[in-house]
Amino acid sequence: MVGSGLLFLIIALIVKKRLVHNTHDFIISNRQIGLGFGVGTVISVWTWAMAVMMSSAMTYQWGLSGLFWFVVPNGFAIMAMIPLARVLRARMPDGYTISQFAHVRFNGSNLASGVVTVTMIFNVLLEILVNLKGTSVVMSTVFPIDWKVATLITIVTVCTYAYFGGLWTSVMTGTINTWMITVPAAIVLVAVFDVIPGGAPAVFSAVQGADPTNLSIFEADAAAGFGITLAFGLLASVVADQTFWQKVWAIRADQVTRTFLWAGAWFYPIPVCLGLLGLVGLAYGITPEMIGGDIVAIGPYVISHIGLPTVLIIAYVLVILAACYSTIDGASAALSSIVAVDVVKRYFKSTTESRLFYITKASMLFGGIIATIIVLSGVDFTSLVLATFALKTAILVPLVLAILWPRTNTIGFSGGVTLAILIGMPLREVYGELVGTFAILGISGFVVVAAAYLIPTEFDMRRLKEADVVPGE
Amino acid sequence: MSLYMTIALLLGAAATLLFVLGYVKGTTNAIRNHQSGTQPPAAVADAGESSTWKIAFAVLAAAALIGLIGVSPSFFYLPPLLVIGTAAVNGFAFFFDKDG
Repeated sequence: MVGSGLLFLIIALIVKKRLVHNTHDFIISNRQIGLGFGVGTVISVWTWAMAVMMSSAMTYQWGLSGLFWFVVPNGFAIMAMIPLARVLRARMPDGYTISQFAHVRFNGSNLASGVVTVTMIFNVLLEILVNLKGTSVVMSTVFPIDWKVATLITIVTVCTYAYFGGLWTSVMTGTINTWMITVPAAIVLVAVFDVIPGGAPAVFSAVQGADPTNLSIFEADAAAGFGITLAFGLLASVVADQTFWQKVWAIRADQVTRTFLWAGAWFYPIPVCLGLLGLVGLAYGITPEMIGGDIVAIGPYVISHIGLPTVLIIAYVLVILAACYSTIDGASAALSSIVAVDVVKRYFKSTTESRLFYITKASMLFGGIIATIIVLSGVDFTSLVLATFALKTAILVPLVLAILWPRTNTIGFSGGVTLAILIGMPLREVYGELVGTFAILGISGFVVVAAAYLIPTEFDMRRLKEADVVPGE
Repeated sequence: MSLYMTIALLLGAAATLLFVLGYVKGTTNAIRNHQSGTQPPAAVADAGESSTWKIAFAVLAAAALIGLIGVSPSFFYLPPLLVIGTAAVNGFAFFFDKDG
């Protein structure tokens, strides 16, 4: 844990000395990220610590249909960014954040850009929280270590190296994390089938014997149970996340499309591979009670109880740690860009470059500190989860329309997001997640379209080139 | 050690080598470009080209991969091998992009 942190710290110090000399370098890597680092960082940022465990959990709960509905929309969500990224990068080549886009696109409307900024900040905070919590749970489950100590070690490690190099550090360490997630995961999975008497055929027979539907991808229960809402949630998670928009503007323009295509396509094998642990859990007849009632623990439980050598158990924990580190530092880098561009540059225009650089770097620590306080205090963060869900789902359709459709106007955008939350969230509470999600998506889209026809205006997309740039551009 | 484990270790080692070589190349290029003040390209490549069929192929391939796991236990080893492929592709990406 600390070892990988030290390696990343060395990388961060090299980055600080060689690649980062001003705010522009810190938050957007001088728009020089190539395909290799682009693919590596997008995969690692999208591979959450919880996603590593959820793929096993969904397979355990729903069989291969669960794995199908968990995995397929996951990779698609990354690739769905391609048309939006391509359009926005071409129309707004000097952009930094999606809130900045909203600010320019809606003629400086503080309401429209404020909604986007708050959504992005909540999202970043939630990403850090969930990954921090997930990692501390896994660490304290597998090893005899207090979860609070695990939380503190994780956040101190990540914040220390992330502080020094900003986005470049996040990208370079994230790419190493992609290796740490992939090769060790593959070897651990093959080892699992090696130690099971009868190997993969025994697992297959046991699952088939218990319930053959667990080997089918066509069971409708999984789709209705979580698949359809998850699919839209994942789309919103990418489109309404500055972590990805920051990369859209930081990757070299000629590699943006290819990066998201390769990253989305080659992300797929990771959750499929780890999902096999769920089948092992089914084959062994492990019950939720045996794993403490939380099915997310099925992967760590199988790995730590099946008789693997300690080195492979550590390798599995490293997979989860790598997923956690990369998502937290990616979120922190995104937060630094929001603070620099959407807060300091917008509201404190006279801030000098040296002070802006200092504030931007300090902001990398801000999200980590807040998230750590929340996690350590044991406060239930369901409200934050709900608020983030509401905001990012409500913003999805209006944001897509704002990027692609010049007739989208400020009233439609702001009204769509607001009404979707005010009407959709109570519906979600009463009728469940599926109805609530569709209500939010439908209302937000309808209001945008209705406002466009009631107040016909057309935004000149060429004005997006007027976006302010940060010193160093 | 099973045959599958031997294959996984060999492929894992090969993918790691490719990854490390690519990573070093990418880092060196990034530092060189930064120090020389090379300006990144302004235009988005293949802006008019559709990626729809490529995305559709990737989605169908992922669905087929999961479907195959339910057909025969032999396919249980395919995802781990493809995960190693992810690391290899990441390494290859550094060479594919000559400036990356």
